[in-house]
Amino acid sequence: MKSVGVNRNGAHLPADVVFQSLELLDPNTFEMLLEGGPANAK
Amino acid sequence: MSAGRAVLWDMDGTLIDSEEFHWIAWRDTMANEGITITHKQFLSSFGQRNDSILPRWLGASTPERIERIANAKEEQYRELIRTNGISPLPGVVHWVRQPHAAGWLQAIASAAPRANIKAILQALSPPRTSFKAWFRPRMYATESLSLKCTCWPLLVSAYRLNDALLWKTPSLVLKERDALG
Repeated sequence: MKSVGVNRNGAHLPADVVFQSLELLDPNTFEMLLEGGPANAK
Repeated sequence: MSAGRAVLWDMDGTLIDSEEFHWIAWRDTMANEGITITHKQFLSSFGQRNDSILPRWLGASTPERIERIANAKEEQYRELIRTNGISPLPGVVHWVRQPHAAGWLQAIASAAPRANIKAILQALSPPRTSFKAWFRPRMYATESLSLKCTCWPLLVSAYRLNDALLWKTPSLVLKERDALG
Protein backbone atom coordinates (compact mmCIF):
# COMPACT_ATOMS: atom_id res chain seq x y z
CA MET A 1 0.00 0.00 0.00
CA LYS A 2 1.34 3.36 -0.96
CA SER A 3 0.59 6.70 0.56
CA VAL A 4 0.52 10.30 -0.48
CA GLY A 5 0.65 12.98 2.16
CA VAL A 6 -0.97 16.36 1.64
CA ASN A 7 0.71 18.79 3.94
CA ARG A 8 0.33 22.53 3.74
CA ASN A 9 2.00 23.44 7.02
CA GLY A 10 5.37 21.74 6.73
CA ALA A 11 4.79 19.10 9.41
CA HIS A 12 6.39 15.70 8.88
CA LEU A 13 4.26 13.00 7.28
CA PRO A 14 5.23 9.34 7.12
CA ALA A 15 4.13 9.00 3.51
CA ASP A 16 5.83 7.72 0.38
CA VAL A 17 5.59 11.18 -1.10
CA VAL A 18 4.43 14.44 0.39
CA PHE A 19 3.01 17.36 -1.53
CA GLN A 20 1.95 20.77 -0.31
CA SER A 21 -1.12 20.72 -2.52
CA LEU A 22 -2.88 18.30 -4.84
CA GLU A 23 -2.34 20.90 -7.53
CA LEU A 24 1.37 20.11 -7.42
CA LEU A 25 1.09 16.38 -8.10
CA ASP A 26 2.68 15.14 -11.28
CA PRO A 27 0.04 13.69 -13.61
CA ASN A 28 1.45 10.18 -13.29
CA THR A 29 1.93 10.17 -9.52
CA PHE A 30 -0.60 7.44 -8.85
CA GLU A 31 0.72 5.09 -11.50
CA MET A 32 4.33 5.65 -10.57
CA LEU A 33 3.70 4.88 -6.92
CA LEU A 34 1.72 1.73 -7.62
CA GLU A 35 4.25 0.51 -10.16
CA GLY A 36 7.07 1.09 -7.71
CA GLY A 37 8.63 3.96 -9.55
CA PRO A 38 9.82 7.25 -8.14
CA ALA A 39 7.44 10.09 -7.48
CA ASN A 40 8.98 13.39 -6.66
CA ALA A 41 7.54 15.37 -3.82
CA LYS A 42 6.98 19.09 -4.18
CA MET B 1 -4.78 4.06 -14.65
CA SER B 2 -5.45 0.39 -14.04
CA ALA B 3 -8.71 -1.01 -12.75
CA GLY B 4 -8.90 -2.99 -9.52
CA ARG B 5 -7.23 -0.32 -7.50
CA ALA B 6 -8.46 2.06 -4.91
CA VAL B 7 -7.90 5.40 -3.30
CA LEU B 8 -8.90 6.01 0.29
CA TRP B 9 -9.20 9.68 1.02
CA ASP B 10 -8.95 11.46 4.27
CA MET B 11 -11.43 14.31 4.39
CA ASP B 12 -10.52 17.29 6.58
CA GLY B 13 -7.38 18.93 5.29
CA THR B 14 -7.24 16.74 2.20
CA LEU B 15 -10.54 17.08 0.34
CA ILE B 16 -11.66 20.24 2.11
CA ASP B 17 -10.42 22.87 4.51
CA SER B 18 -13.03 22.91 7.23
CA GLU B 19 -10.97 24.50 9.97
CA GLU B 20 -12.93 27.76 10.07
CA PHE B 21 -16.29 26.02 10.37
CA HIS B 22 -15.00 23.80 13.17
CA TRP B 23 -13.69 26.89 14.97
CA ILE B 24 -17.00 28.74 14.71
CA ALA B 25 -18.97 25.69 15.81
CA TRP B 26 -16.76 25.07 18.84
CA ARG B 27 -16.63 28.74 19.82
CA ASP B 28 -20.39 29.22 19.71
CA THR B 29 -21.28 25.88 21.25
CA MET B 30 -18.97 26.43 24.20
CA ALA B 31 -20.23 30.00 24.58
CA ASN B 32 -23.71 28.57 24.99
CA GLU B 33 -22.26 26.56 27.87
CA GLY B 34 -20.80 29.70 29.39
CA ILE B 35 -17.22 28.80 28.47
CA THR B 36 -14.97 30.99 26.33
CA ILE B 37 -12.62 29.11 24.01
CA THR B 38 -9.75 31.00 22.41
CA HIS B 39 -8.64 30.38 18.87
CA LYS B 40 -5.32 29.19 20.24
CA GLN B 41 -7.09 26.59 22.38
CA PHE B 42 -9.07 25.49 19.36
CA LEU B 43 -5.98 25.12 17.19
CA SER B 44 -4.21 23.03 19.79
CA SER B 45 -7.13 20.61 19.79
CA PHE B 46 -7.91 20.53 16.07
CA GLY B 47 -7.94 17.02 14.66
CA GLN B 48 -8.57 15.37 18.01
CA ARG B 49 -11.69 13.52 18.99
CA ASN B 50 -14.47 15.37 20.79
CA ASP B 51 -14.30 13.05 23.77
CA SER B 52 -10.66 14.00 24.17
CA ILE B 53 -11.15 17.72 23.67
CA LEU B 54 -14.14 18.37 25.89
CA PRO B 55 -12.88 16.99 29.21
CA ARG B 56 -9.97 19.40 29.00
CA TRP B 57 -12.24 22.35 28.33
CA LEU B 58 -14.97 21.39 30.77
CA GLY B 59 -12.98 20.03 33.64
CA ALA B 60 -15.03 17.64 35.75
CA SER B 61 -18.09 16.64 33.75
CA THR B 62 -20.39 13.77 33.00
CA PRO B 63 -20.32 11.58 29.88
CA GLU B 64 -23.87 12.69 29.18
CA ARG B 65 -22.91 16.35 29.14
CA ILE B 66 -19.88 15.67 26.97
CA GLU B 67 -22.03 13.78 24.48
CA ARG B 68 -24.68 16.50 24.46
CA ILE B 69 -22.18 19.28 23.81
CA ALA B 70 -20.33 17.25 21.17
CA ASN B 71 -23.59 16.55 19.36
CA ALA B 72 -24.54 20.23 19.49
CA LYS B 73 -21.18 21.25 18.08
CA GLU B 74 -21.36 18.74 15.23
CA GLU B 75 -24.92 19.79 14.36
CA GLN B 76 -23.85 23.42 14.19
CA TYR B 77 -20.85 22.44 12.06
CA ARG B 78 -23.15 20.65 9.60
CA GLU B 79 -25.49 23.63 9.54
CA LEU B 80 -22.56 25.89 8.66
CA ILE B 81 -21.66 23.52 5.82
CA ARG B 82 -25.24 23.46 4.56
CA THR B 83 -25.68 27.22 4.85
CA ASN B 84 -22.35 28.43 3.52
CA GLY B 85 -21.34 25.53 1.31
CA ILE B 86 -17.78 24.35 1.05
CA SER B 87 -15.38 24.02 -1.83
CA PRO B 88 -12.90 21.24 -2.51
CA LEU B 89 -9.28 22.19 -2.03
CA PRO B 90 -7.33 23.07 -5.18
CA GLY B 91 -6.64 20.02 -7.31
CA VAL B 92 -9.12 17.77 -5.52
CA VAL B 93 -11.72 17.61 -8.28
CA HIS B 94 -9.15 16.52 -10.84
CA TRP B 95 -7.57 13.90 -8.61
CA VAL B 96 -10.89 12.41 -7.51
CA ARG B 97 -12.43 12.43 -10.98
CA GLN B 98 -9.46 10.75 -12.64
CA PRO B 99 -9.45 7.50 -10.61
CA HIS B 100 -13.24 7.32 -10.80
CA ALA B 101 -13.10 7.54 -14.58
CA ALA B 102 -10.53 4.75 -14.60
CA GLY B 103 -12.77 2.45 -12.56
CA TRP B 104 -10.92 2.66 -9.30
CA LEU B 105 -12.81 2.30 -6.03
CA GLN B 106 -12.77 5.41 -3.92
CA ALA B 107 -13.80 5.87 -0.33
CA ILE B 108 -13.51 8.36 2.44
CA ALA B 109 -11.66 7.14 5.50
CA SER B 110 -12.35 9.56 8.28
CA ALA B 111 -13.16 9.43 11.96
CA ALA B 112 -15.61 12.29 11.48
CA PRO B 113 -19.25 11.49 12.24
CA ARG B 114 -20.94 9.88 9.28
CA ALA B 115 -23.51 12.69 9.18
CA ASN B 116 -20.65 15.15 8.69
CA ILE B 117 -19.25 13.15 5.78
CA LYS B 118 -22.66 13.00 4.15
CA ALA B 119 -23.24 16.73 4.64
CA ILE B 120 -19.88 17.55 3.11
CA LEU B 121 -20.34 15.28 0.11
CA GLN B 122 -23.75 16.79 -0.45
CA ALA B 123 -22.36 20.31 -0.22
CA LEU B 124 -19.54 19.48 -2.60
CA SER B 125 -21.75 17.88 -5.22
CA PRO B 126 -24.21 20.28 -6.79
CA PRO B 127 -24.23 21.99 -9.12
CA ARG B 128 -20.69 21.95 -10.45
CA THR B 129 -19.62 18.37 -9.99
CA SER B 130 -20.91 14.87 -9.36
CA PHE B 131 -18.56 14.66 -6.42
CA LYS B 132 -20.75 12.39 -4.33
CA ALA B 133 -21.04 9.84 -7.13
CA TRP B 134 -17.29 9.47 -7.32
CA PHE B 135 -17.17 7.71 -3.95
CA ARG B 136 -18.37 4.25 -3.07
CA PRO B 137 -21.72 4.59 -1.26
CA ARG B 138 -21.69 3.80 2.44
CA MET B 139 -17.96 3.16 2.35
CA TYR B 140 -17.03 5.34 5.25
CA ALA B 141 -15.21 4.87 8.48
CA THR B 142 -17.32 6.15 11.29
CA GLU B 143 -17.01 7.59 14.72
CA SER B 144 -17.41 4.12 16.16
CA LEU B 145 -13.82 3.44 15.24
CA SER B 146 -11.51 4.79 17.87
CA LEU B 147 -8.54 5.53 15.64
CA LYS B 148 -8.51 6.70 12.09
CA CYS B 149 -5.80 4.27 11.10
CA THR B 150 -7.80 1.26 12.27
CA CYS B 151 -10.47 1.83 9.64
CA TRP B 152 -8.23 1.40 6.64
CA PRO B 153 -7.58 -2.34 6.99
CA LEU B 154 -11.30 -2.87 7.38
CA LEU B 155 -12.08 -0.95 4.25
CA VAL B 156 -9.37 -2.63 2.28
CA SER B 157 -10.24 -6.16 3.33
CA ALA B 158 -13.95 -5.56 2.86
CA TYR B 159 -13.49 -4.73 -0.77
CA ARG B 160 -10.55 -7.07 -1.40
CA LEU B 161 -8.60 -4.40 -3.11
CA ASN B 162 -5.51 -5.23 -5.05
CA ASP B 163 -3.67 -2.13 -4.10
CA ALA B 164 -4.37 1.28 -2.74
CA LEU B 165 -3.13 4.73 -2.28
CA LEU B 166 -3.81 6.49 0.95
CA TRP B 167 -4.05 10.18 1.38
CA LYS B 168 -3.59 11.40 4.85
CA THR B 169 -3.20 14.43 7.00
CA PRO B 170 -0.54 14.81 9.69
CA SER B 171 -2.86 13.32 12.27
CA LEU B 172 -2.91 9.93 10.66
CA VAL B 173 -0.53 7.04 11.10
CA LEU B 174 -0.20 4.66 8.22
CA LYS B 175 -0.25 0.94 8.77
CA GLU B 176 2.05 -0.90 6.44
CA ARG B 177 0.53 -3.29 3.97
CA ASP B 178 2.05 -6.32 5.69
CA ALA B 179 0.34 -5.31 8.91
CA LEU B 180 -3.05 -5.24 7.28
CA GLY B 181 -3.32 -8.99 7.09
